[in-house]
Amino acid sequence: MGLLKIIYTLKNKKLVASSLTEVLVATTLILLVFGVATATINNILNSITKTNVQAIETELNELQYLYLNNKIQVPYYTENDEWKIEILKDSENTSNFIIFEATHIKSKKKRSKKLIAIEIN
Amino acid sequence: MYLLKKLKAGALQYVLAISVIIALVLFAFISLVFLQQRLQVKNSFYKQSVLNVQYGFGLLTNLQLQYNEIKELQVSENVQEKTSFLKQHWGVFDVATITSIVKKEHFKKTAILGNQNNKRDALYLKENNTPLVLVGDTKIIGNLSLPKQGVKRGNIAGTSFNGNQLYYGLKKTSTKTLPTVANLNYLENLLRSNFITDKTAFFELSDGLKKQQSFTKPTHVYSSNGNLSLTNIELKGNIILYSNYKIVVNSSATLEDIILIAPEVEIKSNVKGNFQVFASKNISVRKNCELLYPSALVLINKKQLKSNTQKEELLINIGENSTIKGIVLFKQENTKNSMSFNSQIIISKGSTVTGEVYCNQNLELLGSVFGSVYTNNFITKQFGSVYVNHIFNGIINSSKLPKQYCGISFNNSNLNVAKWVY
Repeated sequence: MGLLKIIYTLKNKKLVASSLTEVLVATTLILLVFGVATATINNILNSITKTNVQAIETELNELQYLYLNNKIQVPYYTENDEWKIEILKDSENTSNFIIFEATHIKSKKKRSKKLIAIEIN
Repeated sequence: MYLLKKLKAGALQYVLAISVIIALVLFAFISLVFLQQRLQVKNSFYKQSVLNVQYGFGLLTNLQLQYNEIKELQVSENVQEKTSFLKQHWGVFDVATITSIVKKEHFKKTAILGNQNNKRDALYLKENNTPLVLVGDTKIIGNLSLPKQGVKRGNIAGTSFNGNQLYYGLKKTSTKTLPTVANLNYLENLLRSNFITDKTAFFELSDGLKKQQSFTKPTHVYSSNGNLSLTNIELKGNIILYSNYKIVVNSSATLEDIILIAPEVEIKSNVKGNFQVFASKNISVRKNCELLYPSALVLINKKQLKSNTQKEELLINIGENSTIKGIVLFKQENTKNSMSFNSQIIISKGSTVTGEVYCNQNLELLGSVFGSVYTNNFITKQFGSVYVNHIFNGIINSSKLPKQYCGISFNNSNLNVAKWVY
């Protein structure tokens, strides 16, 4: 019986209410904090997805590997949903270079890699 | 009970507590993202350095590297990337170390290099104005360079040629010279211990020794003035064993990538390993040995060959059922007026050489060569007679050699990786 009594008194304890101004201030503050938090997280997540170039980097690396093992004909051109990829030969002074270039179709962003050409004698 | 007390600032205190928690979570999240991004950048630099090293090995063919000289190169247009190449001798082969530095990340790889040749011939027989004679179950598969007299069927003590076709491949005409091996001077000097430099460190052998030496560190050398017998020992990597008398390798010795130098070298039966042998008098490989790729047996003789002696002193003798993957090379200095009817390389019945055999004197081929043979002359001793330019039951098959095989460098070499070492 003693336990029941304690529970009963706990349940029916009167809460002290706050004044209206206090509640208003508290609500605004909490909303503000939440707002700032959401904005920051949103910002970060956005920037992560924007800078995610792993897929294209991997593809460029694969092409470089193919080139290294002589399995690809230069010049080479390919296109997928987002990117245009070109491999070109270029010569500067006396040495030849191979340029691997990927261009984003919508944003026109470019990622390129220039390597010394391998000449098989 | 604390929570049930009367609160003074009421809800504001809760707000403060909650905002602190939110701030903490947010801060944790931001720092996580930040850390991840930094790691990603670091990882991409590291990846780039790995790729550069890989690319560097591909570039080896069109870089004319000097030995023991570090060459720095910018493989790509990125200024932060730097790749350095170092080529050194390692017996008949070369060792290259390529290091790439991208910002603070660096990566290093070392490999044993050899000459890769995609248009490999099965046989190059020097023009000596005598035809090549095939007897018994001899088979030649692959392109060949032969003297003008060409090739014909023969007969040794009642055994004639059993094949349908003399050779399977294209026939070309050979010249009076064999292709010249690159770095021959270096190989000759190996026997005069020219491998010792200021950096060389010496070590002592002991029973049960296990030793490894990286190719990126100085060579470790053991030098002995007497007979050196290798038993119960494990040596790997950048190690040279030198004796000015004789080296005997027993089957309990495990050798990998190392070099043995002595006037005479004997490899006992059942030895399995991967090493290069340099000798000036004799190399004998007994039965059932297995020398893994890339191995080499090199004999460079300076003395005149005697034609009349019955005793054969100088030769590379490969015993029955032995397998050698790599290079077998015999080189006679001063070939003038040294017409010998002894064989200088004997490849016994049942033994196999997968790789290249180079001999500027006489080769006795009773086993198989999967790869290329460059020789001055063939010789066969059967039933008490000596047959010049005869092959008896020998097999030369260049199509059985893997395309990736890298071996002897001739003057126009196309270096490629033979084995990755560390």
